[in-house]
Amino acid sequence: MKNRLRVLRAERQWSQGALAERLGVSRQTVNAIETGKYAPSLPLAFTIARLFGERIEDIFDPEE
Amino acid sequence: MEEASTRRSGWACLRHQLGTEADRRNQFRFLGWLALWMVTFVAAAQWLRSDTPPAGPAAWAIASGPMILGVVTVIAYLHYLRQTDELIRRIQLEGLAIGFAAAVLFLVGYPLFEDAGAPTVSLGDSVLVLAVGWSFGQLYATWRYR
Repeated sequence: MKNRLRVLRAERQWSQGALAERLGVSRQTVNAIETGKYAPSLPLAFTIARLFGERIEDIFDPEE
Repeated sequence: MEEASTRRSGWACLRHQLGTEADRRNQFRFLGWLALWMVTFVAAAQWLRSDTPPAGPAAWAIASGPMILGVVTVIAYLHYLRQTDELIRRIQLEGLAIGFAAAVLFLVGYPLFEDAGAPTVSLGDSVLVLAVGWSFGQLYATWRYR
């Protein structure tokens, strides 16, 4: 699943570790989501969307 | 400050790779109980198999000690699993699945090798296979989601 997480994080100049701390997950989880190796659960996707003030479908693209 | 976190030392990166602060705390707690369980198990086994083993209720109490610590270790592991994030939970699940599969394959398949002339092994050796398979499985899953 493709997503804009890396772009959104870079816009805020957050490191993966900093984003992980804000989400309450490990840095490995953030990295795996960004690289598309892991698709987050719905609750985590909602947390990510809420953190960046966007809708889930504007961050995650299930088509790719 | 955020930029500084991208220039972490190797140890700091490794610590961060091991999960959140709560994960590391729970991992150390689990490993501590596991070590205590193993030490107690070895001590109890040596005492019960010594030349002057305890008898009666004392022997039962000594045999029960490692079992109680084993239950505490399992509880500590379950606590870690419930507290950790979803990716690490998946990595643990894949590690356990690989370890379980290795142990079952060993238990079911090795007797045929024994019939073919391979050395006889005890049932306890499958625990070693499970442990090695679990460790390998965790490494593999960690690499897969790196």
